[in-house]
Amino acid sequence: MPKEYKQQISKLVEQIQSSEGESSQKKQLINQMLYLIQNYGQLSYYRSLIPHYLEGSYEEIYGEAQQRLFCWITKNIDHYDSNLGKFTTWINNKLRYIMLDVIGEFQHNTLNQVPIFSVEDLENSREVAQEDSDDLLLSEQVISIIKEDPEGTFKKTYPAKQPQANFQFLCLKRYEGYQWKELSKMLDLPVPSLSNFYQRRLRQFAPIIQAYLQ
Amino acid sequence: MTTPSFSIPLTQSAHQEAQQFYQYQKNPQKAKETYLNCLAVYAVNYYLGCLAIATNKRKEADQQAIYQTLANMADLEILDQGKIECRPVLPNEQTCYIPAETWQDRIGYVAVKLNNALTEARLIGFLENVQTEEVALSRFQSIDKLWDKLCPSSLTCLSEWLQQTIAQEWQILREVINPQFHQLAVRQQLNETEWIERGKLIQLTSLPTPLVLGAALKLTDDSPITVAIEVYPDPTQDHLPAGLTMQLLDQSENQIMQAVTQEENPYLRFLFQASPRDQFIVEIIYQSNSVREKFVI
Repeated sequence: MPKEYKQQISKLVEQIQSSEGESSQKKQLINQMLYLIQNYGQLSYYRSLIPHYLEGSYEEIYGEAQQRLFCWITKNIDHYDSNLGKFTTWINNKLRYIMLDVIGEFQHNTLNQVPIFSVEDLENSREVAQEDSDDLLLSEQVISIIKEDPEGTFKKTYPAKQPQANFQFLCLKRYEGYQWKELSKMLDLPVPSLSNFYQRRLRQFAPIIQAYLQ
Repeated sequence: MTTPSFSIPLTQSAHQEAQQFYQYQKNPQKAKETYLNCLAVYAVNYYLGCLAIATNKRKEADQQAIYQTLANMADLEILDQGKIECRPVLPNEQTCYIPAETWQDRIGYVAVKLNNALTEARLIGFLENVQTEEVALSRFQSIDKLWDKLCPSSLTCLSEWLQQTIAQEWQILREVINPQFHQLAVRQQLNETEWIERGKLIQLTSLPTPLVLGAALKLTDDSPITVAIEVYPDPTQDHLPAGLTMQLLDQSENQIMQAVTQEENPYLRFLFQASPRDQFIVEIIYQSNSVREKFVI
């Protein structure tokens, strides 16, 4: 790693330690420091700590450990004493402990085990975990409540003198994928009037819809 | 140079909630949107948490699913401040999509760049206001602006004003308020000229225009010193909104004074005496929003 980055990090550490409170400037300095640590090879990889059978999960374990390390650095940076050793040594010692913790959690399965989808996965056809085909998904239940409109209020709520632009209509069109621009043309109302009305009413009706779900 | 945020690994803990809410969505397009929105919110929440900005616990799952089904929202509530909208941006995209249903009731918008494998997120910019749904990434400001918005402002030392050491944000009061108030000020009525008067703009997200926070010190006093703290509308207005509250708190946040505007009050003012090293906090509240300013004599 170029020496200049090391010096830059040490300087940032000093500045952070000398700035008091939770000022905007302190946050900016911390972000800058973490960015340099991450991007200029300041962290050890500790691949050798990983047991053979967990090698496939290295990225996951390292990612988790790095997340925890960064929060730890932010909380504890005021305790770092440059007379007692290098900053990089200080953080890498901690990273080693965190790695061991995370590996332990992996071994005992206490970490969440869920698939990690990529953008491609999300674009491909999918299987929904619909155990019983009679059960409606939460989104289908919400849409059917909007369609049913048990008290008639969704249809009766609309911007001044524009019954066509009622809440129910907007819900269903938005769900079908219509854009605000298209709806604006269709109803001859400006986008912000429609979307502001919709946002306010959604906030008003969400608890009512929720009550029907239960 | 502005630094982007450090990158945030999207591990299984990040994908857990995304998976849960993805499974509630029937429509594949909605399901994808929900998944990406959850990751963007996770990344911003982690980032803010890491830098000691407290966020509010999320809504109940049912309620969240309702919003996800009926709107394209990815909001995160910052404790005592309001909501920020976290918008996902995919690798090839040059614009950030900010749906019109999120144009209200937001402190601002954070663009979150995700990689194709969805294993990494980076906060790439902050924007306070939007008027179109597609916003070029180049229009976003540095993420540093987010801190300016979220962090309590630093301590203003009033005795330094006596040595003419005054931060730039504190402008000459008469230059930032509506000229009609020049006559109203008690200080002018008494024909006293021995005051330092400064004002700075403050913005509450619940109000469309900024307010001016005024602070004045009486130069002729030795100790204790007479201090005036005031709030004015921005120069285009001639009165404050009704229901605006100004509070004076001591160092331990106990309320010392409070004033609330009735209809058409031109300004609010506190006049009090303070001794060297006294600290106090001024809080301006309107509806669900508030801003604070800390002072020391």
